[in-house]
Amino acid sequence: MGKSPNISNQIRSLRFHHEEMTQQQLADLVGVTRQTINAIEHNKYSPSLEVAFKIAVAFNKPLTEVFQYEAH
Amino acid sequence: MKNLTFQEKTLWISLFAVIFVYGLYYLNVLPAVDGNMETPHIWQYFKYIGLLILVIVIGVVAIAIKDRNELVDERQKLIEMKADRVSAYLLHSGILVAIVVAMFVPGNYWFIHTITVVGVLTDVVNKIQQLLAYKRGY
Repeated sequence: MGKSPNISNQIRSLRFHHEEMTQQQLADLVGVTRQTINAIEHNKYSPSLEVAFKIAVAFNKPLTEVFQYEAH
Repeated sequence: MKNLTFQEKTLWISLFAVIFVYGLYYLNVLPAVDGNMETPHIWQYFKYIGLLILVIVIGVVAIAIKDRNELVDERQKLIEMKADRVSAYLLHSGILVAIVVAMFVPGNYWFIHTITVVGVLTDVVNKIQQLLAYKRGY
């Protein structure tokens, strides 16, 4: 958890492809605040594994399609 | 204020309340006494503590009416823990300063007020750190 420059995500495009789901709707599904979804989406905060899985479940996608890790 | 979480709003209210009430206290009381803190001074201090609690409770209740269902999530807990860690170092250093004051300044007045100043500074730094972390995202 915290901030990792190596982790990126597809949350913005996945929200778009889920009928333009709002950050608040995703936050309610996951059980975090809208501001936390915003911080995750903009790579300012890397969520815990549990929250990452909950986001993937919300989009009905495997974790690796939502989050990507690049080792430098 | 619209995009702030309940936690951030609470932090802003607490920060302003601490600066306002302790500012009043130090302006009114600090230059007036020397030597020892007597019973009337202690009662005066408690009056300001009461005012501080009142201001915070009124402020938090006012925002809780609107945001009462908001939860505290993992990012907010981490932000708080990070700020607490730095504050703990500051508090320990401040206590050492207070001990030095107790050794060299006669009476208990300056020792007690060094402790209160350290407490206030620690609290203010803690809240500012959290607010900055919220602004950065983490």
